[in-house]
Amino acid sequence: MKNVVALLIAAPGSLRRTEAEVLSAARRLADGLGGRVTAVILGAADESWTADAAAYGAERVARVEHAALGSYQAELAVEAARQACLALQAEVCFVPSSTYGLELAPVLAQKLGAAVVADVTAAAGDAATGAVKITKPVYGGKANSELIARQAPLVLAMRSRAVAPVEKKAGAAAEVMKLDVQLDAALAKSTIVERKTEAAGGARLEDARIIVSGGRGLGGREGFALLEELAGLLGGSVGASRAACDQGWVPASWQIGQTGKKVAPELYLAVGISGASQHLVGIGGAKHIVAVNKDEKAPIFQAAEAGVVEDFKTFIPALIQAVKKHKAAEGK
Amino acid sequence: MTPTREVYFNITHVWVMYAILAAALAIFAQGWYGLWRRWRMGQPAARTEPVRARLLRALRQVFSQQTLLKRYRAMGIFHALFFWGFGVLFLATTVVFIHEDLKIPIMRGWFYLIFQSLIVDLFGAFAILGILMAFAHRYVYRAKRLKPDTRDDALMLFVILVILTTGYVIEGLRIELTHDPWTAWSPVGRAAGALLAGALSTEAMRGLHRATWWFHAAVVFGFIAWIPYSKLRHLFTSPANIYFQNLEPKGVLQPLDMEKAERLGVSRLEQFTWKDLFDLDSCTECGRCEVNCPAFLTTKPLSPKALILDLRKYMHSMGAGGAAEPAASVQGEEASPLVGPVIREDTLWSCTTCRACMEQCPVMIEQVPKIVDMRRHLVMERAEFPDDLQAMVRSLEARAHPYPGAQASRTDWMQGLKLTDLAEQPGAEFEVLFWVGCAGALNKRNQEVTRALAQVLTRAGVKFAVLGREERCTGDPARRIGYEFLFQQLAQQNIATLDRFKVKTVVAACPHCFHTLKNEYPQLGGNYTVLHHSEFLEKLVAEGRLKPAASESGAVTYHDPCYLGRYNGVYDAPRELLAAGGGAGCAEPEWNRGNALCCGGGGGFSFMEEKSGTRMNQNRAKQLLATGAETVGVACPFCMIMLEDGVKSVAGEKNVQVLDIAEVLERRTRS
Amino acid sequence: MHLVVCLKQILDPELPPGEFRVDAQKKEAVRGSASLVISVFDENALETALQLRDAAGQGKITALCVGPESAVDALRRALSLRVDEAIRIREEEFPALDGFGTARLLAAAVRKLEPADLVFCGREAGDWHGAMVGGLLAGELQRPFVSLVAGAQRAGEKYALRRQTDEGWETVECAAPAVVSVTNDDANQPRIPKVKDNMMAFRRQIPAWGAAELGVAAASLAGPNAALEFASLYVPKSERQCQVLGGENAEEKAAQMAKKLAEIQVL
Ligand SMILES: Cc1cc2nc3c(=O)[nH]c(=O)nc-3n(C[C@H](O)[C@H](O)[C@H](O)COP(=O)(O)OP(=O)(O)OC[C@H]3O[C@@H](n4cnc5c(N)ncnc54)[C@H](O)[C@@H]3O)c2cc1C
Ligand code: SF4
Ligand code: SF4
Repeated sequence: MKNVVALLIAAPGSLRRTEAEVLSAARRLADGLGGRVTAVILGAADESWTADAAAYGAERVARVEHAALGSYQAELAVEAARQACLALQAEVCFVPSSTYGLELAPVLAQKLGAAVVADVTAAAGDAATGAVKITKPVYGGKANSELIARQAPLVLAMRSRAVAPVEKKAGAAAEVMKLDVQLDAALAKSTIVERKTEAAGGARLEDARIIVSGGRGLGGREGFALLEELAGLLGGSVGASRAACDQGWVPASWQIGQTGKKVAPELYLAVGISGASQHLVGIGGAKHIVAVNKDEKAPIFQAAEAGVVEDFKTFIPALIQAVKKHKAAEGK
Repeated sequence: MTPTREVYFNITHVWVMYAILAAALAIFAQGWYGLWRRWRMGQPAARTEPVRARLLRALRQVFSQQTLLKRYRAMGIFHALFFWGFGVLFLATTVVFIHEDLKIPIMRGWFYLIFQSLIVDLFGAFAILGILMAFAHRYVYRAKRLKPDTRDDALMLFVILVILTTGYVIEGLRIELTHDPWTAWSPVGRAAGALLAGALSTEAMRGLHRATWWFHAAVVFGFIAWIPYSKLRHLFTSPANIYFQNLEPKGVLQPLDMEKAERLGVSRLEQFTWKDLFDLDSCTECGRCEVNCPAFLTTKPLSPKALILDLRKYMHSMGAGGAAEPAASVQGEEASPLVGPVIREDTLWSCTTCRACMEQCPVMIEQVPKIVDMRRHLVMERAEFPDDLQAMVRSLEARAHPYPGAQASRTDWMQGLKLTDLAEQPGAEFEVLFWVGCAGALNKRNQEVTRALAQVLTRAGVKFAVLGREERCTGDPARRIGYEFLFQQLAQQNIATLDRFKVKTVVAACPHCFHTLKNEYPQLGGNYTVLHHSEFLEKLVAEGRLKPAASESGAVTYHDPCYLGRYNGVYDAPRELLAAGGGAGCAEPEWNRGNALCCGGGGGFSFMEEKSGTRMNQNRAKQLLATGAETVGVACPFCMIMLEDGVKSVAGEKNVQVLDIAEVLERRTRS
Repeated sequence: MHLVVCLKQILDPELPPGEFRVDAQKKEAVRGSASLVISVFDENALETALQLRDAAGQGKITALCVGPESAVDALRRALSLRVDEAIRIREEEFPALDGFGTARLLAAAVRKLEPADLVFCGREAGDWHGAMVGGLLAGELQRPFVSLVAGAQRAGEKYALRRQTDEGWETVECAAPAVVSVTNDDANQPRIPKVKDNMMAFRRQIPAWGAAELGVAAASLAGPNAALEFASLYVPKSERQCQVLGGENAEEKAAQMAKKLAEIQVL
């Protein structure tokens, strides 16, 4: 297998992390296989997507623009993807694990007669055999499974935030092509009649990728103001322990734990939270737990993979500075 | 001359009195008949036999006024004065009746002098004193538990006062007018007479005597007729209710026959037992239940007194036949005219089943079973419960423990300890089974307690085993929230397990498990000797198998868990453990033993957020910290969770630790 | 209105990590004393269907489960929540099922149950997290597929499906017949059965359909995924060792923390 496709579904604005991850997964696999990556952009995405796709390592960018692909519609998107994959003789097709990606992947696979695997955390290629080794966590992350695909075609939905994007090479060149597809508007069986963006101020806690959470140790609203600043910088949301909600420092809807929200972020940063079991119950799904507490014996450290023993009042402002510095360095 | 007196001195047309009496008695009977017909709506309950045992017990309790003197001593004394005053006056009236109407001349001689004159004279005065105290309590000190005041309450006290004082006026005037030679035996009457004689002529005294006599008689008869229509009925219903009291171990809930029961719980008033309905008419509105209720104290929408009175008002509004009911306001197949319209759901979900109300109630009204009966309807017939409890129930159903999302397994706490785990070694020999309980196995803090207890048992050389993965929730949380179906499923599975391992003696580290295993499993055929760890450890210390060193830390206070203390009367064992080996001993909080305030963890509350009012655990923590103790001793995993949180919230800078008595003992027996 | 809900019975996903073991040979989790439960999102799917029927005031719900004998417990639970029919598909007759095979079996059953307006699946099973059966089933039945739905309502002749997106929410209108996958939400938390219904469910017979009833041969079920080799299943080593980020002062510790955050790719 050599022909790797990264399927990108157009969205307003510039290319986002979701697309960058799909491109990166495709790039890494193609590297292993000694193959090449074609980015397929379905629908009218911003012009900059072409260059960005190239920057993330696509050798070829195929833009599928058709009047019927104005905004996402399931059946039309699947049909367009199918024709594109056939036209490009795609052997491995990566799709994002977004709502649309998960909708499209199985139907597309079926139409292509492709094997399909979702929630993949790694896909490694072997140039000698042309085989693809797929890693997929199962049983709620308690185990990993490994699958080996030796036959094309293959449709893979990558788990979001599972891989770091490859290094972006600004100005990289790629072959750009327009791909024509035949679409009949009558294929559409459903219509999206309303779209709602969740109110600003961070994602719903259940969905948040990053949660900065505070407890009784914060001592008041001012402490939470610091956490909000930090969360803003990290692109996360703010949660709390019951003790903090009880005190009225933050609304009860922020409570995380046995009798509050259950969350599964990538990062759970617990500040001034002792780690009572009722609280830990709510964060069992968190991938990384990091704690800040001035008491080194606090049970939260038994649940956390990293921790700082320090008063939050001095530590959080310092962390905010450190994060700003890091971001500035990265932006360069 | 034989001492006696003329009964109808100065009175003519005595038949008029009999006529009024007859009318009064008719109204009286009519009232009772109406009440009786309402009680009869209820379901059968075996609460009348064995007669002799019940009678003796009730007489002892009624005449000693024991519950009343437990708490609010002043009010208890008032009631005792009043009770005895009234009792004696009633006896005196009976004596008159026998003497005059039955023509058996007993009202003479020494009996007349000592009982009919002196004792009656003095007890009447006691009763007046009692009334004045009651007035003061209600209107000068404005005791909250007696709220709301009704016009009836005031009128009642006033009428009694009138009856008592006019009695003395009549007595005094008679003494003066007849120049009674035995006045020394009626000191209060004589004083009253002397007072009046100083101000009135003989003729005026005669007139006044007659008028007062008729007035007194009329008021007394009116009073009698009024009894069944007002809370005065408790003069009769209260002693009867005490006779009908539950003779089973305290706090045991009645099982339902899941296969046969037509309805699960109570959704209509007449589905209560007759005894439940009788309870309602026995309430004296004293408010003692309310003052100890952790829910009421934290302004939750529950007062055990209001619950009883609301039910009573509803029952009385139903019409004597009970047939006509107000239209149901809840529609649908499980419509209930009672749960919702009369007793709100959030009221039912505010109860911790701590039994404080029942412990305090002087007339042994049973609030908790009524609350649980109505919860049974909500949970099993309507499948309605607070969200938090849904999560708990689903966990119980799927995993036989009430901790949704628990990251620990039942055996995690055993790490590094050498134990006999029957799930792994089914054939192993053991003498006692250590029942760990879900909180002890799965809650982080309580795992430490469990380890401490296992270590202490090992030190004492006890041959014990645990069930490990084979242990399930006893079903206590399910039963208290009214999910009898689930309780029975869990209990039956546990009984099968216990019987499979031929368990005889169980030591439980959780009072809730302890109570359920000991007192409720027999209902389903599980019979074991069950001890709480405090009892068992105390035995080990007494036998010298454990020799605790003296305490080195400062003062310790102890919090009585409801299911250990009030439910099972285990008050001394934990205290003796704290004192064992010498040291600071136990500093009692103001509310202790039977009067202890619930930590707020029972009846499902360990798994529920307190939705309204202030926090129960903080209330109790304040009381415990007021002792100045540096360590709070507990003997229950729920208390541990509740009080550790509560103490942290209210202790401020002070460093107070919460330890289970097993942990205290573990520290003192380290060699 | 006829709604079909597909349920899977799985090993309790809340089994604590300490008790979780895999059989590397058989390549599956060891059950031990753990319970079997309905996969969580399937419970949300069932609840969504029940709510749709409640709101419509009429309609029939059929629960389908491809599973072994033990799966009758899952179906019984569905019956106690008042689905009208519950049918087990005898997994034992179809060894080595994957997503494609399961979808084909379900499709055969749905065809037998026609007309079926909406077919509900969970977004993914709580054990293998395949997340494909709903879409594959839609493909088999040649019906539209709508993913991550959290609520369904009638909208005239059509259905209005509220679903989660990466940015928030959207409403998709779709005519029956269709297949939807369901995700969890405040609004579709599973209810608890009434005890009376629970006891009734115990008395119900649960039919089991096999190759004969469905007219499907086991050999015809292999799909493209049959070509994948299942190489291994293992429990990843977890280092639940808390790494203490040290430093002389808050600034140094903060720098350490920033490094850590970058390492775990959240910065
Ligand atoms: C039935 C029940 C349900 C519950 N449900 C929940 C729930 O859903 N969610 C929940 O969170 N809790 C819940 N709890 C409460 C839980 O038991 C704990 O009480 C609570 O989580 C404690 O919150 P905390 O960690 O913020 O406070 P604490 O336990 O008081 O911890 C405060 C921490 O802050 C640290 N600290 C103090 N000052 C500083 C500083 N300047 N800098 C850094 N660190 C500092 C301290 O060392 C301490 O570790 C529940 C309890 C019960 C009984
Ligand atoms: S049992 Fe306890 S909480 Fe319930 S009503 Fe009685 S005193 Fe209140
Ligand atoms: S229920 Fe008992 S304690 Fe409560 S007010 Fe009535 S008589 Fe008093």
